[in-house]
Amino acid sequence: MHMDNRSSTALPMILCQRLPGSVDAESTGSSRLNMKMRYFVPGKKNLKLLRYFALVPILLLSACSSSGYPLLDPHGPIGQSELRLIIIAFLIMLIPVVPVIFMTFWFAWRYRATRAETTSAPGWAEHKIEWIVWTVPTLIVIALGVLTWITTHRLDPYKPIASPAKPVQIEAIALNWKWLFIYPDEHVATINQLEIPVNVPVSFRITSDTVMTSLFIPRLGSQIYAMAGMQTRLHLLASKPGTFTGMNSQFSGAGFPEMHFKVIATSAKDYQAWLSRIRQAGSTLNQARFRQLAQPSAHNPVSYFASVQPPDLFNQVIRKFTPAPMQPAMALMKSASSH
Amino acid sequence: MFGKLSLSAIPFHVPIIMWSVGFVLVGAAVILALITYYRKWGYLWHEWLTSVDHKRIGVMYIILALVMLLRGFSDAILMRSQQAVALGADHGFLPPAHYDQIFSAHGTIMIFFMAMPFLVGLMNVVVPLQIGARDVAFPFMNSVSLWLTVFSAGLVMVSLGVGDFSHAGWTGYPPLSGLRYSPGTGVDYWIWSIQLSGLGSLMTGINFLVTILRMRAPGMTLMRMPIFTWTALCTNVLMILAFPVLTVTLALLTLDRYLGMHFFTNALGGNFMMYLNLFWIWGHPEVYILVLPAFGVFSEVVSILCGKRLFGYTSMIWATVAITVLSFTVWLHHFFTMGSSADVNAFFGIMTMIIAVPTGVKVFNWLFTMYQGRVRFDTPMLWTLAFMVTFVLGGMTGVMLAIPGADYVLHNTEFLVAHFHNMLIPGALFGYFAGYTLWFPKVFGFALNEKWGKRAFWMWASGFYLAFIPLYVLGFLGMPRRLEYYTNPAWQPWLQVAAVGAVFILVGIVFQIIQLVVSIRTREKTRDLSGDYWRDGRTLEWSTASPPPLYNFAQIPAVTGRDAFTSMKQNGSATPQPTEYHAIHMPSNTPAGFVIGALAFIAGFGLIWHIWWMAAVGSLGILITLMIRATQDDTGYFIPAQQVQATEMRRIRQLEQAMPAA
Repeated sequence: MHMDNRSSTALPMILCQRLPGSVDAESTGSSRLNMKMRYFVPGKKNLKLLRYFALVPILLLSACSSSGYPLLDPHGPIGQSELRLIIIAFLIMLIPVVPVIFMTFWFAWRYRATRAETTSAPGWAEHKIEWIVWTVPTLIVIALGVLTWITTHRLDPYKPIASPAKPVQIEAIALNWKWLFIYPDEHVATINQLEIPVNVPVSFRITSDTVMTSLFIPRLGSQIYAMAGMQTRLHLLASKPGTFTGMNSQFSGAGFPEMHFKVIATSAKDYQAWLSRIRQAGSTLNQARFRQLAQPSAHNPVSYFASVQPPDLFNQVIRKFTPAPMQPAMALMKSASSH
Repeated sequence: MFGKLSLSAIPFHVPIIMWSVGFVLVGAAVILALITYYRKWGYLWHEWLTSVDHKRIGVMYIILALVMLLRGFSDAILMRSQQAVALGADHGFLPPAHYDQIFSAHGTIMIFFMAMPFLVGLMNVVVPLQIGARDVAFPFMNSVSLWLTVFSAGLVMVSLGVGDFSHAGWTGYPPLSGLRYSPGTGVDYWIWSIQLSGLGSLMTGINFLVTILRMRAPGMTLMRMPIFTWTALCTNVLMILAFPVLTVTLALLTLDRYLGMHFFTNALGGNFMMYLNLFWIWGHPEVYILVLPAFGVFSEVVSILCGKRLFGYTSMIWATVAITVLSFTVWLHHFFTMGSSADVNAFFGIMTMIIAVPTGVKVFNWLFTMYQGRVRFDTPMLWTLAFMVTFVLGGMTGVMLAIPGADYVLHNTEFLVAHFHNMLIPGALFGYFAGYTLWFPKVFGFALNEKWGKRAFWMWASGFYLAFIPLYVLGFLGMPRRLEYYTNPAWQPWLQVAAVGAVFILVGIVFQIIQLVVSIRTREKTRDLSGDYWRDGRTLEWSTASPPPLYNFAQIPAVTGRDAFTSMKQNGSATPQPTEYHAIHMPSNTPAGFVIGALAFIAGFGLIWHIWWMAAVGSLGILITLMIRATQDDTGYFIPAQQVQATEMRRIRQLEQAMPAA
């Protein structure tokens, strides 16, 4: 139902067309290279061996499809596109990597000095091979370069996710060593917990009240740094309900191992119910309470705030690092952070 | 009087640190006692500490590298064992304050005090011999570089027992490394130790660039230069261009920390994004500074131990030069997740991949050097083969990280840790080990024990895979790096496998120590009389005696082509017997380099602890030492012709002795 999202529709197409093809390209690529070598024409036995070699990535992939691997079982389109990108890049790179590894073992064994027969080294076409040696990596890098250019634009974390649903706005503030999430449209806030509705884009504005950290929810995809005095953006979407881990992935001092949080993706109905529970049960997040939260502490329990005073607390946190006399510098930073 | 320093700076209450300090102190005491017992202080001082001979300086650099490898590896195995147990409520045996220092120290030590000294040591030993020179261009400066590096490594070691080391990671990102979040002296230890050693590296770069450009034997044009010298040349260019950036970046951070400025703080218009850019403008070329000389070693090993001319020499050189230039165009890939635009990220991603082209060319050239050769599985070749297989895997994961879309999920995870160890352990360290084994007989006149060398190799290679493949998996399990403890039980089995891998590597290191001891004890069996220990040496260093005489070459060889020694062997001019000998002018040994290093240590220690008089004494002392040195008119002496003749006659007799065996 959310599938008009651009970044999620284009890549599966690439993968569907490429995945079987790339495996083929890998095995034919290596045997084509092998043909070049006189001593290296694969016999029947060798061909069988090659086929087993081609099985390795497939085995790896199937072994990895276990749901315990957040990066291999993403719960959202961004993460899925990124996984596909990783797999495509991996398969393209097997084209040179497998033959090189194979040739290393083969040449080392075939031309070992202890072998009884000696090889004569005739004047074979060094220049021709040198030509191949530059061309093959160049072609692969061109292919990867095109892939990079396209996907980098598609997966730009700043790019909103197209969806009929109105995005959930989240203002994330990194503190030492916990996460504060403000829901500006709902006027509520949480510590160390992020509740989001399924199939609705989540639009993050991110900053830090401390050192540089990085907001990362592996099951959903991209991470982005949180930096004091600046705002960064991130757009994610959960397409399946579930509970998973979010974290700061950038080392930020002694309490760093504690700086993770629970992400709960639920139905729209449960999400609304959760919001109303918070509004009834939570306290108020005001300046005094924020100052208290900003003090370094780890092991922070999940807590809820029914209201946020002042409502633009997020902007205030950014602004406090840029006092009035330094306006030009602030402009510079803003342009840097919003590119 | 003592600034911030007081007795409380010594962590008496932390048993692990006190044991380590105790271990280091006892070790040092034993060594000092042995030197005293054997009355070797005079010998040590006159022959080694004050030496300006490039071969001895090289050996001392490599000794420093091996000692610091032990220290850096101790940190590694502590981290691996901590992470193997620190699940759930069990936070392991290391408190955060200690764990954070350990990973910061591990990175700093391995890069600045293990890898850098190792490659500079190899360059020192090999480059002048390969280009047919008698020493480097500035022998005294060479000694200063060495002692700056040794004494700054000393500062890191002192931080073990006096105060603490940085908690901010080896990259020292502000604001975490700024005064507000790191008020202690740890970051200052980090700053001053790498600042001083960076100065040493810069001087090394200048020294060897001039040496290679100005002191080559007649006839050795650039395109006839041995490949290791070529990679050394490119590394020196990188050192000269990149290290000043690090020096300035650290200086700005120093101003922030010492004078309350705001270059990289969050306040008053400072911006730490600038630090990340500047740091990696040095940091990425630094990777190639470490890797290129190792590529040079692999090239030498492959051609010597396959008994064949290097395939695609010209390609190899252009590939090296291309990497040198491109290494300055990729720094942003270290922080794709900082919010740059898609255009910027895609540009740096593609530039990064382009480096894979010349690197791929190199791999193919090594492969085709093996093709139709006679591959001898001596230890240096084993390191090379393991490198080739392992390095392409690292290259593959590197290209994955270079794609911003993939980096958004792989960045900051254990996948990243696995990747850069996968580049630097096979790509740099295995190369240094190969070079250490290859040139050991040249430097000492006897070879390293092959049996123990191979055992060490197999432990290292299998240990590498056991230790780092699990980290790739952990990346896909979403485990961030630098985690002191964790709550996800799925991570633990992989971390335990990685810890087993670290134990394998430990055994490998123990075997290397045994190898050294066994080799020294059985040195008569592996004496190298010919000077061409591997029998297929192709470049000039194999044409001299092992160990080479102080002056390297009685007559500077004339070079007529590539692989100068191979053509000498072919046309029968490999053992020249000159009819007359000339006195040779050589630089005199001087204690000034050692003294400057020691004074820099004093100045650095004073600066770290805000003991201003001490900093002043150290700095003034350096100035005075330099002035005294500058006023000395005669800094060289002549080795009389008779002495040269006597040495050369001995060499000729030795060769005759070696002939029947060969």
